[in-house]
Order: sequence, then C-alpha cells, then structure tokens
Amino acid sequence: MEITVGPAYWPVLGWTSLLAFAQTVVVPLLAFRGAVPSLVTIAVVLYASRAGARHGAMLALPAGLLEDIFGGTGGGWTIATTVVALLVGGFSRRMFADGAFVPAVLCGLAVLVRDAIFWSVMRIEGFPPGFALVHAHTSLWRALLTALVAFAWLVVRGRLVTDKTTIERYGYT
Amino acid sequence: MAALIALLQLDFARAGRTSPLTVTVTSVTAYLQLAAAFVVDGVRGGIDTVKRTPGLAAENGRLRADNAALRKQNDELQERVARVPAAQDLAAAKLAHPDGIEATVIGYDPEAATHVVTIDRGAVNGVHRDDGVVTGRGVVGRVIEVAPLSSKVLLVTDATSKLPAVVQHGRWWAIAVGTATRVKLQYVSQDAKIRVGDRVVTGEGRSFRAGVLIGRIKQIEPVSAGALDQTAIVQPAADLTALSRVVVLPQKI
Repeated sequence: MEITVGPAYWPVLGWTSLLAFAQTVVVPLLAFRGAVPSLVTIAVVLYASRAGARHGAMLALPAGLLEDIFGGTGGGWTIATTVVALLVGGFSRRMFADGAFVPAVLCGLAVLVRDAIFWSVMRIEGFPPGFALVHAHTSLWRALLTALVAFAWLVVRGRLVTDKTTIERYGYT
Repeated sequence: MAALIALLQLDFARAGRTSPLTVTVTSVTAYLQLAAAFVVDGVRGGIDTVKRTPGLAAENGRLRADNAALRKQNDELQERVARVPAAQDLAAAKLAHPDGIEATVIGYDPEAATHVVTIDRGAVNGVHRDDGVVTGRGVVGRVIEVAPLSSKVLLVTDATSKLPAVVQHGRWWAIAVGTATRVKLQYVSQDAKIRVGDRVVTGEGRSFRAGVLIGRIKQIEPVSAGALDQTAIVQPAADLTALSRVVVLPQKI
C-alpha cells in the first residue's frame, strides 16, 4: 500500500497556470541563444516527483494544454508534458526527491525528453522530419537553463521555507 | 551677617573687582541656566513642532504628490523614448500599406520551439488566415490562426514558413524558407548572378503582393557539381527578436 502526500493540487495548478502565462508573455523576452528555461517543466517535474505519476499527470495535462493554446501547437505539449510527468512520477519511486541538485538535473533531463516527444508528436501531425535534430542545440540550452533555474529556485526555497515537508511519501509493504 | 555681606559686596564693587561670592554663585548658576535653557529650548522647539505639524504634514503631502507626478512623467517620457523606433517602424509600415491593420505583439511561443507570436487583432478586426504581417522594415510572417480577438503569426524564420521570393535586381524567382534563425533562399536559378547584399522581396503570392522586402542576401552557399539551382542565406530585414508593433495586410480580393 502506498500513501502519497504532496503539495495541494489546486494551488499548484493555479501557480503552474500563472507560470504558463508568464512563459508566453515574459520568459521569451529573456531568451538566451534562442532558448528559454521551461518554468512549466520545472513545476510539473517537481510536483510529479513528490505527488506521484497520477497526480503529476493531472497537473501536466492542463499545463501542457495551456502551452499548446498559447503557442498555437496542436497538442504536442499536452502529450509531451503528460508523458514526462508519468515518467518522473514513476522514476521518483526509486529516488529521494529532496535537496536541489538531483531534482534540478531531473528538470533538465525532462526538458530533453519533453522536446523529443513534442517533435515526435508534431512529426505525426504532419511537420517535416528532422525538426527534433534541427532544434537539438536549442533543446540542450533549454535543458541547461531549466536545470539552473530549478536549482536556484530549490536553493532559495530551501533557505526561505523552514517548515517544508522533506519526507512526503511513506511506503508500507 | 547680611550687612557684612552687603558691605563686602559694595567694597568689591567700588574696587572694580568681582567678589568671590559672586564668582561662586554665578559659576554654579551658569550650569543651572544652561540646563534650564536646554530644557526650555527643547520644550519651545517641541511646541513649535507641534504647532507646525499640520503645515508640515500638508507640505510633506504636497512634496510627495509632486514627486509622484514627476516620477510618472519621467516614466511616460522614458516609455515614449523607448517606443520611438517601434513607432517609426509602424508609421513607415502604415505609409506603405494604408489599408493595413495595426496590431501589437502580446505573446510568444511559450517554449520558443516554434517561431510564432500572438497579436491583439483577430477576426472582429478583419484579420484572416494567411494575411501577411509586416513592420516598416519588412516582412514578419503570415497569420496562421485567427481567434475572435487575437491571431497567431508564423514568423518568416520558422522552419515551416515558405514564401515566394524574388531577388530584386535580377528578378530571379526563389522560395524563402525559414531556418529557425534566418531565411534560406532556395531554388534560385543556377544562372542567376546573385550577390551578397542583394535585396530579396516577396513575389506575388497568397499573403503578400510583390515587392515587400524580406531581407538581404548574407551568404551564398557553394553550388555543388550537377546542381540545377543555388541557395543563399538571407538576413531578415525586420528585427524578429524585438517585435512590438506590426501591421497586418488584409488579403487581396
């Protein structure tokens, strides 16, 4: 039996929606070498790593949908973000998602996986082949920037929030 | 005793000297006077402050209001200065396309994976799918999605963007394809004598009339043996990384 305790869903969904909005209005203005950090990926990965795959997917689906709406893409981000949340939620059973370094690296890797899935979906939707390779360089920058932002956020949060829950999953066999 | 003291004082006074008693008393009282004066001055200052407080508060409020007004004015002026280049671009675009619909860029692709921007004009403003979009400097892209109040514009640099193009000085036809950062001019006739710096304009097509500037040739790729056409890299004329105001060109009827 597994009891999953994580951050409350609705506030996280609200904050993630705000991040998705910021991602379309503000973040692109801060692009570095054509790449922007993915705040939505950070939110989804950190939530999924604590709340599990199912709850993570419940957050990823509306978050990805918002990105598709803002970006004018046909469902690529919805599918990619949900799959990433499921993967991270499943993977987090085998790791202790605390500290800053490991979750930050996980966010960076999630960006790469998410981009690969996104371009695969776009290929299925009729985009010419090879877009994932064309954007590979940008994806690497995005992964690095995302990992850095996630690391900074986790370090700052670790210093500011004293009443944080460090153990949120209890396993009983 | 009193008479003795009085006589001593009188004698010192007649001799023109200060009596020890006077020196002692005045020395002691000087400190007391100093302390008293300090207290009195403090109290008087306090009373004056209390009296002036309503006036000071009003003056402070007036100064704050002045400061806020000046700060606001400064912000407005700074914004006007910052908008000058965009306003000039927009004015030039409106001059070239009087029927164009002015629009402001309000959003970007969240993940910067595709080169798409959102503008604040939609179907209710007369925007249609495939309308061309320009700034005063040149082509921006074309409308790919129209909502009632907003539209999405595919930038000319997006890898899925394709526009009919013409090298201006020789009238050589080509296709301008996005490369994510620039525009690639494909299928230029092998006989065409294109040069770096040549202006590339739109050909007559669905989104643009002929002659709208796309950019200038920045690099000509070497022609491989047996190739029937040549390829060049074009630097877009419009600054697509800092889009603010654009003009949508209604479709030709």
